Amino acid sequence: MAEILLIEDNPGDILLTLEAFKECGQKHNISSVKDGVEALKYLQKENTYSNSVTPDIILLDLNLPKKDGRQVLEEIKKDEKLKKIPVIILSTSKNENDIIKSYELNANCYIAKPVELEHFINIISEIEKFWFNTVKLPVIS
Amino acid sequence: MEEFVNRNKIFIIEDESIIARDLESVLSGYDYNVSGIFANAEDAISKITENNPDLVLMDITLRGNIDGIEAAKRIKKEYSLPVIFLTAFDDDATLKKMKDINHDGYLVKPFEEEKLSYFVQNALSKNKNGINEKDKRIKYLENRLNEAVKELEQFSYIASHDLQEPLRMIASYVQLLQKRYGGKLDPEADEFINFAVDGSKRMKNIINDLLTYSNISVNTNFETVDLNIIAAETINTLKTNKPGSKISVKYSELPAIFCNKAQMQMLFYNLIDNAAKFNNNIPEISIDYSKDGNTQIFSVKDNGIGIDENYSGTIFEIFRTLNNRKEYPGTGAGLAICRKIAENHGGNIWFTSSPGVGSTFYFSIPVNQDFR
Repeated sequence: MAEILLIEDNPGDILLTLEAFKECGQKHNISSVKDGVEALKYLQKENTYSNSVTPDIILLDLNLPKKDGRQVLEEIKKDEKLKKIPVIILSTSKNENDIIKSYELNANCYIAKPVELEHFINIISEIEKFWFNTVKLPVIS
Repeated sequence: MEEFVNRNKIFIIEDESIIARDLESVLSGYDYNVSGIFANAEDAISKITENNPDLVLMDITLRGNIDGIEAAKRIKKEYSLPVIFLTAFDDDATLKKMKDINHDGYLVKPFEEEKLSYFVQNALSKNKNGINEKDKRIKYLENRLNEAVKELEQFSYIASHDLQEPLRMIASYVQLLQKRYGGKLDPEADEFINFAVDGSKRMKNIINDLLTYSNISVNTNFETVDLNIIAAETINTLKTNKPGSKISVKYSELPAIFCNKAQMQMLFYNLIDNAAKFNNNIPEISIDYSKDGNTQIFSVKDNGIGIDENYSGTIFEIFRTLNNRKEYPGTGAGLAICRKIAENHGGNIWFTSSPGVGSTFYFSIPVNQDFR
């Protein structure tokens, strides 16, 4: 069972992502945090997160309170230990600058969230197939 | 030659021809160009636009339908030209009459040459400043207009972006409801859910179209593009998007033009798509090209349902639809997008149609796009 960290502030989106994984019929351990500061604490296992499990992949929204997604991405990719974890940007934005900026900050891929549920379920299913079946992920000690 | 062009032009309105001639010879001596002498004000006013004088020298009492005061008022208001009065009297009654008008001086007949020259020179230089003020004002308004256009574009872009977020929630969750609970509640619940799903899909299309529409003038990448390739690609895309449809599209030899490629693709796509969509026959579409001087004219002709030409004014407005949404689905943004693209290229869009027979949509793109 894979470990997924979902960094997303909108509860509607969190539930929707969980539901989409459910629709795909795959069970994973999905944890979620609602802002950038919490996300980094989770990943660094600080404070209340001392028992958190290092995720296999990270799903990251760009527009987050406190510390926004770009900053979170930058800090993850600067961290010797965390930078190996694939970060998938999941954003509503189709803005070219957002896309370029994300890749410049070494995002592993960028996905624009679609409006239609069926499309979203397909995307989650693609993520699932690609990152957990096709790809060999690094072992993070 | 240049000196002649730069000479200030003066109109004289004076019904006593001897005085008029006298004025002309004096003014010519001071190197002014008397470009018109008129016995009544109507004739003079009717020639202002054509002749474009810099100053009007006029008698205060004139024969004809408009007297000097009335004429001066119009000349000042409508043409912003300096006016110098000529009067036989400077009694209180005359002065009072002139007071209403912001004139640029008055001369009492018989006039002194030097005084005439001084007044004319003075009035002309004052008006030159006035023109500078006007230029500034125009520049200011132009800047304001540019800002407003930019703001509006930004507004619709942001609005449609920010609207997408809550819309995605509504659409996704009603679709999830439909997927999980469709047919499990009761028929009424299914109907409610269907309406909600349908509404959210329409909303999505509207927002996407609004986004496309507001993005058109933001896009400025212009290059030389072979329209034969655009036409071929568009027809291919259309056939892929509508598998099984028997659309026949013919096009004559098209030119390569200086344009934004993505926009041109969109323009062709929308027009061909409409030609096929609003059609109860097997669609036969032909694309043609002609050139009229500096204007390249393209046409897309179909054998479709046609359009009542009474709607020629509204059909290019955004989110206007003429037909039943069930039969001919769409947001009504396509032709508005087409118009914006044509206008963005300095051109125009229009159509001719006979209902039941077919329509032809035309768009023009100027060859020379120096205005850009």
